[in-house]
Amino acid sequence: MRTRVAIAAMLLAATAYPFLVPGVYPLGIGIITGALAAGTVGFVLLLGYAHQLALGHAAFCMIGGYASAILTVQRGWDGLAALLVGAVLSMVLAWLIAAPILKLRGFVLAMGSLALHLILIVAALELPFTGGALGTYGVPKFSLFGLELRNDLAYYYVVWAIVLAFVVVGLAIDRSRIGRALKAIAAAETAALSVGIDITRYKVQMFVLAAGMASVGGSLGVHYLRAMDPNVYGFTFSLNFITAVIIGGLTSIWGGVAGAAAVTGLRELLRGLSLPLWEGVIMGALTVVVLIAFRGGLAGFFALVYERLLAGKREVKARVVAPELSALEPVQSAASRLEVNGAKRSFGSLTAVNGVSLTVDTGSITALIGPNGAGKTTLFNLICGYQPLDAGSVSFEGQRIEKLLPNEIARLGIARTFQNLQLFETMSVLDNVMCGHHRFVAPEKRNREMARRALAFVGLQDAEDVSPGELAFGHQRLVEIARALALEPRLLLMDEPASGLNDSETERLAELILRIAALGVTILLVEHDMRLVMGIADHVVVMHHGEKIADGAPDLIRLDAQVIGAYLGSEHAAA
Amino acid sequence: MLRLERVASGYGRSPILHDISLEVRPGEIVALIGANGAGKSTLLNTVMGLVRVSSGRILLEGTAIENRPTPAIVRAGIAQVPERRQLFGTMTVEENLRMGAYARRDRAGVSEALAEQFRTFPILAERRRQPAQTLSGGEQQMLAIARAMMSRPRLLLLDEPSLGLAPLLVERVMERIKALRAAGGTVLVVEQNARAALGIADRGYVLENGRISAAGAAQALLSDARVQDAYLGGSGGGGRAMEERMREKRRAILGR
Repeated sequence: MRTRVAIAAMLLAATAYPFLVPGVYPLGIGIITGALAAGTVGFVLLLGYAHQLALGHAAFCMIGGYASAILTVQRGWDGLAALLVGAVLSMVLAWLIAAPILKLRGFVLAMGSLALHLILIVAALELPFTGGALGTYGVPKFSLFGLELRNDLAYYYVVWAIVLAFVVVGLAIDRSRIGRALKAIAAAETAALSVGIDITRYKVQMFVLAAGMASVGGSLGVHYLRAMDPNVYGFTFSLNFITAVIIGGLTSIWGGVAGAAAVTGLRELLRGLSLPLWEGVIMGALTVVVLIAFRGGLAGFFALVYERLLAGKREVKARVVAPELSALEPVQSAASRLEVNGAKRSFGSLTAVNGVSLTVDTGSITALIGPNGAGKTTLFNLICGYQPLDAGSVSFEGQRIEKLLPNEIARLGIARTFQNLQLFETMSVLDNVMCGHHRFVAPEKRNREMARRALAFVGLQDAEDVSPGELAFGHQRLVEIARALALEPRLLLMDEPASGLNDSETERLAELILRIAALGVTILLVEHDMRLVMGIADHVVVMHHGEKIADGAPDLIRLDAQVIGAYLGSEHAAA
Repeated sequence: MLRLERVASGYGRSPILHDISLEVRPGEIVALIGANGAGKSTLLNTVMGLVRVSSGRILLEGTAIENRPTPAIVRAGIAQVPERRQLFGTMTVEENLRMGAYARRDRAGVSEALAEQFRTFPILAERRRQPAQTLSGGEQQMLAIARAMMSRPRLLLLDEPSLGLAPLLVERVMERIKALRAAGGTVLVVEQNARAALGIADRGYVLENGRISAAGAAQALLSDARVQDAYLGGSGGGGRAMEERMREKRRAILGR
């Protein structure tokens, strides 16, 4: 609703602008703003959603600009065809450099895109067909399907129609499973992997898309300027993207457009006041002020005003009710057997897991116990693919999985929960659980229904709108379990699910785990609460100093002298 | 030592704690138990000045400290071990401990405190050069407590010290807390593991929906039928009885 109001306002402003501020020069500013806004939409997806900072993003504007200029001037192409060729070129180039760059973290993309921009500037100066420092002049007015847009007003509307189309694409992504996956990645990468989200893939997709949109923006600008040279899309233009997105509000698609308008508008205002030299200072100061005072930028400010004025006060309900046990259907699985053979993993001189073999039988509840530091969590991470094995193998349903990545393992139907909760704090409880269903490419309605059923199964159906942080710790655990169940797992790994729960809650958890097992889900849990382990497990595996020291039925483990000495102490040993 | 008088507090406009009156006397271990969401952590955060007090008073040795800035409260002699530890993960064990004495200026005192922690928690001495994030869960909890002790607090607030610990280690951590009292320390401990906490405490308070619903000597609370039902896994027999009930459920649900 809020977004619709914002889009309507944007549409109205863009339509009315040429009539409110008539004149050739203001119209030109409107066109340039549109060209910047087109690229900014992609930049919001890249910076705000995929959390990738590209310092030289105008490199793709250069590609689009030169493609348009050269193909129309030298080859007499249609403007639209040249624009599309530029966009495809940019996207291919982005794809080629993205895969190696995005695998690395931190500032690699920022510096990589800056380097690309530098290379392109030099290439534009030196290549024989670009026109060198003088550039390519006499770019014709934009034309599409042989129809030349002689009238700048018509061109203005074409530009803004394209911006609107990009905004629609951006919003569609925001609302799709891709948008949710991107938000999940930004909130907690480890957890995103655990539900089968391929992090690199989505980052690459956003980079490629952003490159295409920037390229289109570059092309559109050149048809208004009627010339293209290496300075048109220089480093300041890259900075314009960053400034526009920060001012607009990092994670708002239309906010990016508003930011682009603010950036060009402000610059023209300063020019009008004969203060062009102060432009950098004022833009810089404004960016810093927005960063400090309005973290949400223009979009955040608008949201605040909207909520104060238009929206009624939203009553967020969060209650934990009795679980609906029939909410989930039994799992169809013939043989969800997990086998670990001679697993080994060392960190420097410390061998955390040393040749451990264990089997989790189909449909069983197996508990992994052992003192802190015994290597239980490391073994979990080896099974789920978060760390590579030094030696040994892991197989699930007869398939070897030790070489697979965590997201690939999740896609096989292996879900997990974490010892220290890993929830997507910036998203609602419902969205958190919907992420669990990511491995199924399904209509949103179906995803939502599945998430609601998983929430009902754990008793959280009345808490879907709150953010996980507003729930008590024990209830956050239930959110994590619901998210894991939304994956429709055949094997569920739980890392200390009872930690932080009191006795009564632990008993309820025991019942929940039993109900999950009754669905046919095979369960492996690491747990310290001996009452829970002895009460519900079919099979217990004991680790100590990275090695397996015992393996058997709970009542046998209780009698094992070695286990008593290493772990249980006298209280929990058999009388 | 610490006195809360009819304190109400909460985040934003929604109050979480109502009319809380509570006292911790010098040399005491006081346990605060209650269900998830009852407001236990909020109470500790209120004492630390992290949550705004809307009415009532908090007195530390007679001086009002409610709504004072957290650093001032720390300097006044209260140290908190937060839930889930919150260590400086990439810093070494020793660096973490030294951070605990950040407010102290006397070098000799800091070295002495460091040696003292290494005596109390020998495993930390062994691991002193290791980054905190490479420690196991139990070791991290030890480190969190040791770090809080570095400032030689007059009052130590512990939030869920047994969280994620093996049974043997829970016992050991509880013993360490008892040892703190023996050395003249005063402790307010918040626990889900009510049995373990009441087992070492002198007195206890039960928190329910942001209000104190029961208070008294720890032994009395342990044998109180209502407390047993709500927080100790039902009356009669402790761990074994609870385990038996789980087994019955397993037979009912899974048929095995």
